[in-house]
Amino acid sequence: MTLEQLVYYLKGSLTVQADSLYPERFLTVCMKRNLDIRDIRQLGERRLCMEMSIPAFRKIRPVCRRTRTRLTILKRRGLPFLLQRLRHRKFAFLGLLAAVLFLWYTTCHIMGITVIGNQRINTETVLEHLARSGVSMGKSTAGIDSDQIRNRMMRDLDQLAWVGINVSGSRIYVEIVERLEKPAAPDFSQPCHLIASKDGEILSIEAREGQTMVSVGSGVVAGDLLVSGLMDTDTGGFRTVHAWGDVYARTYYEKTEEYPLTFTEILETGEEKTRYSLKILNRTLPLFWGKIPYAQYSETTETAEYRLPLERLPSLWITKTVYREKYEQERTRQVSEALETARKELFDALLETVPPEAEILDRELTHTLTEQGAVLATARVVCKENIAEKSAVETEISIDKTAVLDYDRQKRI
Amino acid sequence: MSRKKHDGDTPTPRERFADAVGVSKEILLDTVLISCIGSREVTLENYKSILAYSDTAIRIQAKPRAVEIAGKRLELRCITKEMLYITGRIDRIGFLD
Repeated sequence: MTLEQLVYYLKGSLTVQADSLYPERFLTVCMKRNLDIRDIRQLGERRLCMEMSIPAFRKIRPVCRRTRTRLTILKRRGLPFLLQRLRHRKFAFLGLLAAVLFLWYTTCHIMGITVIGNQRINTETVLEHLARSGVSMGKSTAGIDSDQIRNRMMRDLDQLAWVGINVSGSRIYVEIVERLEKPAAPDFSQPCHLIASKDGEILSIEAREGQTMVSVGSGVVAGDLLVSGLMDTDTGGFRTVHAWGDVYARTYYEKTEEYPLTFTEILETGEEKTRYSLKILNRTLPLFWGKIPYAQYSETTETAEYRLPLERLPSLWITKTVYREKYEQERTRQVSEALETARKELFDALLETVPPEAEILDRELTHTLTEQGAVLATARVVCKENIAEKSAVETEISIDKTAVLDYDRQKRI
Repeated sequence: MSRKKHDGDTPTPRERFADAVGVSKEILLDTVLISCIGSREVTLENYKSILAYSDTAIRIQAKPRAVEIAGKRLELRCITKEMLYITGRIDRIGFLD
């Protein structure tokens, strides 16, 4: 549509048919009166078809009378006629108004805040600080002073190294760069012992400072002194040191559980119901009625975010919850089946308690049958790990400097 | 003393004056100005009235003589007091006596 056509559409125009004995005379009079007619086509010897503006049509009656022309409107075109047709359709206008208002609201207000780059700082904390500066969902995007908000957040949040606030449409992107965490250097100024944090069998000792109190192969219980911070040597004399080093020991993790051979199993009936709910601008709208019709059920929830490529529109979250009906059933099982279940469950539970830095050396599963007809299964995980733990030296204890430590005595012998 | 009628073959004194002072002749002489864009569009400025109109020939009263535009599928696309804009396949433009 050209600009000229758009102007004609907005002003409105009519297609009229003029029947006259002298069409040329009609055209000349129209021209003399400066009436806005265009696109004149000849349909017959005494018939013309033309486009005419609404003001021209209002003035054409005397011209028709004078030139004995009969006008017939063939078509009405343009915005004024459309509005006239729609003037009784109030709800259409209300809908249009609501759409315009919705568009205005979603365009000029914050519809989403995306925080990126934060690892130690909680997203909720960032949002809370933004809210203090007037940046929260639904607030106007006009007048957001990024520099001011940045300065305020840098002042309030110690862990922040840099923060960037970008307004893209009606979505705010907050990019966070956190301060680098300073590695904690061991404090060698205070004297300390190394004690056992767990029971175990010593595999190797790498004492970098302090007096070793145990030997490889000996067993220790939690709290035993491994490397002492009190040293008394012939050359250096008595002194307190910051004992440090690694003491690796074989440790054991055990878990025992009873698995009855006759038990109640919870099974799915195969019946399931799916319920959906919408979430937009922190408001949840359930798309279902009534309660879950199952007495026993399990549920799984999936949430998906839907966003249009337009930044100005808020995200829509659709939550899909599937409810699966369950029932209880008495059943019996063989010992081997119970052991399989025990192996899976017990080792899974044990591996959660094993520290990630520990090296797993072995896994064992032993079982006995009880008189009640159950399998008593014991799972054991053997690990190699550093059990040295620092413990402060009581500096005020009275030390008999003449006493000889056991280790020194053994060494001298 | 009676004014001598101009034969139309030689420039009138007004035309000579317009040439001398460098003024647009259609304004000074009040004559028709015909502009063609190829053989598809023709614009007439400073005309008087429409004498005849059909899709094969359009006759226009103008000064000094009436103009006839002949062709096929002729259309008056725009008509104002000062200007006529005609489109179609234009075969001939001539002046009538």
